[in-house]
Amino acid sequence: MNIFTNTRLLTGLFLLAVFMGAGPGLHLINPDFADPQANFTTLGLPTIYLWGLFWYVIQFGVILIGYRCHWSKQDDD
Amino acid sequence: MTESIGTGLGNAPYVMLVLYLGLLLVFGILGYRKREADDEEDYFLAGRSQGWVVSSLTIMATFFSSFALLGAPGMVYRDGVVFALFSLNVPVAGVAIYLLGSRIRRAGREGGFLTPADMIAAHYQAPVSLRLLVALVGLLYTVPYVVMQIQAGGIVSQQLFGRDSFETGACVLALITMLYIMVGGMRSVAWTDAVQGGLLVGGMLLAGIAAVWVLGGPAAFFRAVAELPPRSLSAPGTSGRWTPEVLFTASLFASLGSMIQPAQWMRFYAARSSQVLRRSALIFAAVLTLCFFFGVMLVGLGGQVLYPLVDALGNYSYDAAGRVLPHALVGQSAYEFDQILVVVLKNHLPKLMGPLGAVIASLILVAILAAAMSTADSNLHALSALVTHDIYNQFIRPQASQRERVWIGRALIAVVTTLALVLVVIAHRSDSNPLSMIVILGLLAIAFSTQLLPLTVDMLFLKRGTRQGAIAGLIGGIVTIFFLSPFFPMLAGATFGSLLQTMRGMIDTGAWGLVVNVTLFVVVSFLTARTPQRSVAR
Repeated sequence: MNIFTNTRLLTGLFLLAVFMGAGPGLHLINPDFADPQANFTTLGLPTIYLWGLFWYVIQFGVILIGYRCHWSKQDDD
Repeated sequence: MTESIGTGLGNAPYVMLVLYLGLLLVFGILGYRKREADDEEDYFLAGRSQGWVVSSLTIMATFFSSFALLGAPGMVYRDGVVFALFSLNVPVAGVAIYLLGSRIRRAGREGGFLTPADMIAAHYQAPVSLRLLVALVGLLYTVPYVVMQIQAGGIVSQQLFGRDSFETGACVLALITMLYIMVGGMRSVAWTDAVQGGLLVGGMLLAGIAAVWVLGGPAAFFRAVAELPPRSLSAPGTSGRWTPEVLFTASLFASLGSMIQPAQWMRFYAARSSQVLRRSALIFAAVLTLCFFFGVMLVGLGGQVLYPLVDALGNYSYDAAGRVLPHALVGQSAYEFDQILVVVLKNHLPKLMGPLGAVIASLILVAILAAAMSTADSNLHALSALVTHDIYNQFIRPQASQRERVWIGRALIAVVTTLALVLVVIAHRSDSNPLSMIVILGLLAIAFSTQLLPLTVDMLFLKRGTRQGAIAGLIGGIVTIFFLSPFFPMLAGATFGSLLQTMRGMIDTGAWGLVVNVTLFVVVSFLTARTPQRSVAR
């Protein structure tokens, strides 16, 4: 399966990034503020900030592939 | 050198302001001189000839308002790092520029449409009801958005020239914006937006760099941030508002709602080709998200370090209504978190960097004005198109000449700006300030424009809905948002208070509107006979 040509895979990946980044996916890594043992940072950055950056890279990667390979040029004047 | 009242920035803000306003004036006049005809298409859509540089900058500048430069850092200052994830709505908006924008542009060119209502009314063959409803949605989006930009002018002025200058700042911002839109129409708006777009992108990044610098560089900055209270480093944040579900719906629909609001819709019509919109989408997703993540969001986090919300024992301060309060040096009420960027800049940069710091701080403050003015001008301009074209031309004086229509548009800009200014001043003088924080007001405006989403998707892709379905959905969505807005309790007191509170805590207000809207749209479309439609989109 070629990620550069499979539009369904790209669409799915983008939607996943939207859902995971600033969405319910956050539950997976969100530290509980009431837990005294909770760890709020990863690699020196706030964990949820790093999480957001990671999903942004995925989102932008998909957009870049879409721009280069898929976005239609047929209706240009 | 004479000190500005209440700031340590010297004369730098005055110099920057004069340069900036002078530049706006020059571009406004250039836009006017470049006009090709004194007709509606030229005044409202710049003759549908915008290239990619101007288009991408005007789309960015319209999207990024005081919400980005004051509201977002203010919300991060209040709620912590969770609101930084709101930045992820920007790539979604970028995709919408391509997916929705290029289809809207093509349909607009083929149908000769000027406003969103033109296209929707033509598709559903509802020249009266839907045209009026779409114009109403435009109004419900535009007025609060213009109000919050004028408010931002007041906030910046208050910080620069002292607490008494709020109203003067709001008046000056409103007056200058109003003048250059009235003179040059879309071309002036887009050209000045291009200047302002560049300025605000620079300002946002510079603000982030400044915040990190003030705290001693990236390593020291993030070490200090790691010591913030647990609520600032996790969802749902200090106030408890940003659960992952509320964040998801707010950021998803903020991006889509912002991209189909009337001013952006008209920018799609105005683009010269779909290549313009493809490039705009890419630039938008790359540049603006980074400006958020590495720019203004860091100011909010740095603000929490410099001006903690908790005392030495880790306790928050609350007002009588139970809302968290900012640090006393930032503001006195729960509505003053938005001032954090200005406070950080004026209190720290000049101390750290001397005159250069004052210049950088002044440049960022001018960028805030640019963000506010570029959004206010686009929205005022779109509003004048909506009322002139969709109401005056259609129902009041269909025989009006092109020249008369343009002049009516200009008069409307003056009336709406004055109205918005009066609202800002009244709210500022009231103790409870019903306009509250910029982000809250912005999300409410976006909630209204999001109600155009089902119609837009159906019109451009599915083509299955009916006129009756569209009308029912739109009315249902608008009414739902009104019930969930802060205005309903003002009229109805505590009626349904706990139910509405629970609903607001589950997902964003706009998403609730959309749930009702889509349900009604689908059910009523299914039940009503399909009217033969003129499909506007290929």
